Amino acid sequence: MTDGVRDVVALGVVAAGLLSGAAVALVTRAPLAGLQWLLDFLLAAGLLRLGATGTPTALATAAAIVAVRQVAGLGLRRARAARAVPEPPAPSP
Amino acid sequence: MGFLSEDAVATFVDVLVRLVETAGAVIIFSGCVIAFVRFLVLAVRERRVSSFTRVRLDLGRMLALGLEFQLASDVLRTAVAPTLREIAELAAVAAIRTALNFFLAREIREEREEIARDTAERDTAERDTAQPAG
Repeated sequence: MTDGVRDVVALGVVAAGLLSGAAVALVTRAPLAGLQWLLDFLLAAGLLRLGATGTPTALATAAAIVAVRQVAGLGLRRARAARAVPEPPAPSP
Repeated sequence: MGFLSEDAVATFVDVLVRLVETAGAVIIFSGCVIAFVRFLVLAVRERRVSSFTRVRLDLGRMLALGLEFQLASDVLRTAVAPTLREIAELAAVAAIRTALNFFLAREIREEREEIARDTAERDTAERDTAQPAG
């Protein structure tokens, strides 16, 4: 697979992720679910780009995208876990 | 023994690397296409977050599988990496992929546990509704 084809495929994956991520957020009315969906597609595109034997700059860019995706994903999971914890009962008078 | 010359081995390994790497890319791309098609079906039929999470889990599995293939191609590449610079680049890519594989596996495990928990809670709630106390 040439680098040009790989770039086009990665771009297609990004476009599909943007489209479906927005749709998931709208359909489920859960923006975080849509964001996670988008991040998964961005990760896939980053992995496809990482396969290309490019310059160190291209490698660093792909690695940065992947790192951003990981950090954002971790933040989303932590936020969801924090929301899942039930609130303590109100103190009795 | 011309067929065992250094050039011949390098060419053979290069072909193998390209094959394995392309297989990894094809797996990742197929995972995305399958996830997108399933998204279209789910967007029309069901509109539950948990359904979309299941699709995301399957996509994550495909990504992990593609990563394994790409790691295999890195290992193959170490067979012929003449310069120190190439070896350093190879090490960087392999390190990124290994770290990614680790985080992806952890994420899949956490999501799977969450789905199992949600399903168990829903089952319990449905059972309680079906058999009211008293």
